[in-house]
Amino acid sequence: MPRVTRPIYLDHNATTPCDASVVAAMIPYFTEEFGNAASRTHAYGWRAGEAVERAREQIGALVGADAREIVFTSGATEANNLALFGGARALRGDSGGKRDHIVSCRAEHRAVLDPLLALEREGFRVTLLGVDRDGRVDPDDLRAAIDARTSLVSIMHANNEIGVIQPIAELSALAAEAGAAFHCDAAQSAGALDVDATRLGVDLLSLSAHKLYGPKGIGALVVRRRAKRARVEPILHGGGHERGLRSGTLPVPLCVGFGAAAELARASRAADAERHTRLRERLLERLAAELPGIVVNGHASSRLPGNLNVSFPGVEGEALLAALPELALSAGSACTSAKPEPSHVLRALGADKARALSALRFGIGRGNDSAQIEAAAELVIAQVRRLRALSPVWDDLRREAARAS
Amino acid sequence: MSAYSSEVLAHFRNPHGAGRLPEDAAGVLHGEARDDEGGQRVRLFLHVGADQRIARARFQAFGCPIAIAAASAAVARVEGATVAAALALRADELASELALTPEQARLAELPLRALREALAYLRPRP
Repeated sequence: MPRVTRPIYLDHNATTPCDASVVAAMIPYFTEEFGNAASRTHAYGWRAGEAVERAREQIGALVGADAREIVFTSGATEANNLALFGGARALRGDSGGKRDHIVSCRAEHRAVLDPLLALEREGFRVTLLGVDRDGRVDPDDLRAAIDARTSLVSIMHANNEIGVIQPIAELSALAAEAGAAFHCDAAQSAGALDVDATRLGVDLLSLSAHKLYGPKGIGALVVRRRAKRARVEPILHGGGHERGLRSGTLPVPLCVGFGAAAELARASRAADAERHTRLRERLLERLAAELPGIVVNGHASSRLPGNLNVSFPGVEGEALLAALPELALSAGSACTSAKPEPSHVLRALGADKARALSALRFGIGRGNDSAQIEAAAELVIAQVRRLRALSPVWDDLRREAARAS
Repeated sequence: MSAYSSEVLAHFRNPHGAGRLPEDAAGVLHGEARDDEGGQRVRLFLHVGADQRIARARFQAFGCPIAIAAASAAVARVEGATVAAALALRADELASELALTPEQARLAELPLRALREALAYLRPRP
């Protein structure tokens, strides 16, 4: 068995390490360049302001948006909250109360689903679309769900658990036809896929820096200027920063880091995607060759390059994680309270509870190489075999299969 | 920090008596218990001799490390014990041996329910 001292990090969908060049770009803005970007009366403020504007340009360039369309937030969760609360309230107000319906999807991140629950309590009507067995939203379902009262459609670009990519351009065109705004959570896809706000046809786009090798604590909402549907009301008040949409002193070092990470992502995205896809395919090939019965959750190819979500029938994901201290990964559940709750995303695919609870998520990123992938595959294969050998569920499945053949 | 005690991890990594016994062999009994909330399952196989002692015990378990550790700890306790002593084993004893939290303690019931089901066949029938 391979010996590793530090766990191999395979959880890049959860977060990524901040790139060393990004950290280096940030450092001066903690110390000598400490100015408030909103200070207009001295050079400290001007220099901080210039650094923030440069960061907006770098981020805009990554996602095909204008620098003036970038509204900094504390992360993608806040960007989603601003888009949903701010968008739903503004559009309801603009329509004299006539548009109060929001359409989203059951497989969204909790940072979309939870604000939608809160909006329902505020009196908005919410429709959550299902997904097909591969995890994709059917445009026909969206067409059927949109009505004359629909103000906002919110569908993520790529799923955080199963990596599945949604047909955003097709979906956003349907929203536009109906005069509804389209919000897209691109926290997972920016830096991993080609994200172009114009080609995707989105009005509002959520971004997160720490998913693309930038710092934690900063994200952005892209609010398209040309789209009159891209209307949001602020949810934080006090000072009128960010064109009044997000008050609060900007964290200049984090903005600079986000910008540097975006520029780096723009330069390395294509090569990263190619390499991560190859590593993912190799990992799956090893697992599938040696472990009968495994199931890939989510579409086989229309997914984030580095994401692989696999169910190992007969084994519980949480037990498998505990058996793999050499690897840093995520399961489809959390069992610390001894009552595992299956992932809502896997349930939305139609996975039964057993399949959902036997899932592991592998998130491959820049720090991984093929030696690590081979080592990870070997460890996973050994531990799945060990746990299956003591599993009554696997024993029954094997006996049933033997009887059937 | 791990969500599991070192006692749970020790049993989980090196379980005692994992596997099964041939069900059709004389003196072999088996029982199974499931946790409805979490979906964990424990199956026990016991070989009871004419002297009313559990000569051999084996388990299969599915679920989180706690369920597997509880089954392993139960097998370690009952192998070699008399049927009466095995039936006297309490869930709180297993829970404290494994240093389970109050939330996790529920899972110590699983191997004991499987044990009672297996040994029910030994009880005199009316």
